Amino acid sequence: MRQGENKIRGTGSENYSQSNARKGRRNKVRKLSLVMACLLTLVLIVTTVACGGSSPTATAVPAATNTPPPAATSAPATATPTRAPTSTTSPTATTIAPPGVLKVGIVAAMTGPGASWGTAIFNTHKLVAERINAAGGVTVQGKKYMFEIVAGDDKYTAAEAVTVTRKLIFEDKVNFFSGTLASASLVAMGPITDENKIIHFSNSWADKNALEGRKYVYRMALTIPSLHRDPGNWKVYKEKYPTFKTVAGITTNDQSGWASLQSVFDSADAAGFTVAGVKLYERGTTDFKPLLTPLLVNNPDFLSLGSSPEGDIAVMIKQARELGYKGKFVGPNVDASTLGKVASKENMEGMLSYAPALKGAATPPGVIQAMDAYNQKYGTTTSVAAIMWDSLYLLKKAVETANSIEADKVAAAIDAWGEFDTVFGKARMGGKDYYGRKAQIIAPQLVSEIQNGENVNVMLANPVEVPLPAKKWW
Amino acid sequence: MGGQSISSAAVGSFPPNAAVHKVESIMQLIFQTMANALSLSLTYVLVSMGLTLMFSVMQLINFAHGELFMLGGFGIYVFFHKWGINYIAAFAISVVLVSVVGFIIYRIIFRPLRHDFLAAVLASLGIGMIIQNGAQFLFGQDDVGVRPVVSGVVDIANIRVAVDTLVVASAAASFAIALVLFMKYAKTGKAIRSVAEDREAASLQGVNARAMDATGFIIASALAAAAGALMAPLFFLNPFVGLSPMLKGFIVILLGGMGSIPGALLGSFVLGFIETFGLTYIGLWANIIGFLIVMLLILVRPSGFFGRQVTLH
Repeated sequence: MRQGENKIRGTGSENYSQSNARKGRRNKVRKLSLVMACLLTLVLIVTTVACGGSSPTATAVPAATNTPPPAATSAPATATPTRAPTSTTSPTATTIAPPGVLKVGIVAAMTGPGASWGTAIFNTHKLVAERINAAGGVTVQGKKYMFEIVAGDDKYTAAEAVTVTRKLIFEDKVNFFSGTLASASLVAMGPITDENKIIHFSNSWADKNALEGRKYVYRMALTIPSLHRDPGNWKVYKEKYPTFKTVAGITTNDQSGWASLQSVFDSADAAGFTVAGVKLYERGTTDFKPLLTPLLVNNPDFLSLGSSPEGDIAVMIKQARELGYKGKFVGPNVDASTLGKVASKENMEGMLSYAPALKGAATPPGVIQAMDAYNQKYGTTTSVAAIMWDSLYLLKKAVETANSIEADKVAAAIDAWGEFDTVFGKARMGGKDYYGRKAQIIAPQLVSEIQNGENVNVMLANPVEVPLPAKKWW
Repeated sequence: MGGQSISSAAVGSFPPNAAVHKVESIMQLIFQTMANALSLSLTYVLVSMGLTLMFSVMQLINFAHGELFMLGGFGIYVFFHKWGINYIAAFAISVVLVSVVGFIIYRIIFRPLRHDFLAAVLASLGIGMIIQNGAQFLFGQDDVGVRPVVSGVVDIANIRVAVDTLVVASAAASFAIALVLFMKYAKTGKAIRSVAEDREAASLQGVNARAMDATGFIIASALAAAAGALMAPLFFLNPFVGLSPMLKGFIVILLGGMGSIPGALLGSFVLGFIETFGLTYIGLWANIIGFLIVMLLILVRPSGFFGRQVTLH
C-alpha cells in the first residue's frame, strides 16, 4: 500500500464499521421501498376491483321508499325522423364509433363532493339507454343504433374534466356528451367538444360563458340559469309568501356558485325582492358561522344556498338555525332523502328546493314515472332521475330528426324544433336573445318543499323568457 | 339573528333610536364573532395536539394524521350512529381502535425510518392514501352525517353557541390541559420529553427510547381519533375530511413552534381568530390575508412563537 492511502482512507477497522452502517441503512431503505411499492400496488388493485374496473359504480343506496313502484310506463313520445338524403361521412370524431353503437359520454363527479348527483346522472342515463335500446334503439338513415353510456369522473374540477373529456373523445370515441354536471367542467369542456364537433347536452349552472359562442353545447336539463330567463319562480314566491321581502345568499366561490346566485338574485330582484347580502366560500370550508353571522344579522326572509353540495348545506342550515335564523332556506336541487343522511329533519323542514318530488298536487305524471322507474331499478328515489330523464330521449329525437349523427345537422335539427314533450310538460328550445342561439331548454319548473323529511311539490312555474339585466351583486 | 328585532324591511333604514340600534347590532356582531372564533380555535387545538406531540417526540411529520382523524369520525359513525352503541362507549372504542392503527403505522413505517426524515414523510403520505382509499371502499364517497349527541343552543344576551359546540370546546380545553399536565408531571410524560430532548442521554438513564416513541405515537393517534369522534356530529363525514384539519394543524404547529404544546395552543387561537374575524368582516380576501399573516409571522420568527430549533436527520 502506498504511503498516502491510509491517511485518505483512515484505518481499516473504522472504514469497515462505517461502511457496514451505511450498507445497513441502505438495505433498510430498500426493504421499506419494496414494502411501500407492494402496499401501493395492492391499493391500486383493490381500488380497481372495487370500482369495477371500468365505469364508476353507483354509490351504496339506502333502502327503498315505501312508495310502491307502479308498472313501468313507456317514455314520452318523441317525433319520428323524416327521411333525408343519404349524408356523406365527414372525418370527425362523431363518425368513428363502431357500427351499431352510439356512445354517450357522461362527465360528472363520481367521487367526492357532488358524487350523489354524478352517480345519479350516470344511473339515469344507463336506465334510459336500456329502455331506448329495448324499444329498438335509434334509427339513422335506416340503420339501428344502440346507446352505450361511458362515464368519466371529473371530481367536480375543470382540470379533471378536461382530462376525462379528452379520454372519452380520443380513446373511448364517444359520439355525444350528456348530463355534464359541474359548471367549471362545462366551461372547460365546451371548447373541446365544439372543436371535435360533438353534440353536448349539459346539466350545469354555468351561465353565458358556457353557452355563448359555442356551437354544439346545450343545457338540456332544468337548471337555475333557465330561471334567469324567467322570474316565474320568484313571482310565485311573492304570491305565496306576501310578507317576505328580502333574500340573501351563500354559495361556493366557483362557476357553479356564481351562476346560481347571479340568477337567483336577478330573478328575485325582477320579482320585487331586495337582495340583502351575499357570502362566497371556498370548497372545503367546514365552519360556516363566520360567514352566516354577518349574513343573518338582518334576518333575510329567504336564504339561498346557491349550488352548495349537500354536506355543506347540512352544516349551513344547522349552524344558521343555531344562530337563530327563522327564515326560509332555498336550496338547489336538494333531495330530502340524500340531504337527510347528513342533516336533521328539523333543520331541513320547510326548505324550498328545485328538486322535483314524487308527492304533491303539482306533480306531473311524467315525473312520477321517471322517478318510480329509477326507484325500481336502483332502490332509491332521486329528483335527478326526473331532471335527466329527457336528455337521452331528446338526443334520440335530435339524431332521428336530423337523420344523421353529424353535429351540424343535429344542431340544425334542434334549432328547428317547435314544442315537444318532457316529463315536466310541454317545452321548447330558447335563449336565442341571451345566448345567441337556442341553447337552453325552456320547460316548466317544479319547486318542492321539504315537509317532514320528504320533498313535496308545491308549485309548477311556467317559464317566460324575459330579458333580465345581469346586475352586479358582489 | 337570535332575538334580534331588526326586521328585514328595515335594511338600509332604521327606526327611531337608530344610532343606538346600530351600535347594539355592531356590538352583537363583534361578540358573536368572538364566540365563533373561540369555538373554532378550540377545534384547532383538538386537531393540532396530536401533530405537535408527534413532532416533539419523534421529530417526524405524519401526513396520515388527517386520516386518523377521519377514522375516528367514522368510528363514531359506525358504533354510535349505525349500531346505536352509547356515545361514550363508541368514543372509547373508536379511540382505542385508531390508536392501534397508529401503533401499526409507527411499527411498520416510522420505526424503521427513524433516521430518514424524507422517506418517513413520503411513507406517511402513502399510508394516508391507503387509509383514505380503504375508507372509500368501506364507506363509499358520499357525505354522511352523525346524529347529534346533544342539542340546543345557549343564548346569553343574544350571543348564541350551540351546546354541541360547547361540549367539543370543553373537551378540547380538557385534552389540552391534560396533555400539558401529563407531559409536565407524569412519569411517562417526563420520559417522553427526555427522549425528545436528548435520546442518548435518556437511554443512558434507563429510559426505553423506542417504547417512548411508540407511546408518543399512540397518544398522538388517540388525540387525532378523539378529535374526529368529537367533531363528527358537528359537521359531516366522507373519506376526504381529514385533509383540511391536517393542513390547519400544520399551520398551527408552524405558528406555535414545532414541538411546543403551549405554542400550538397559542397558534390555534391566532389562526382561529384571524380566520373568523377575517371571514366575517372581509370575506374571501380573508383567506389570502390570513395566509399572508401566517407567512409573515413565520418569516419574522421561523421557529414559531415557542418553538425550538430542530435538526432534521
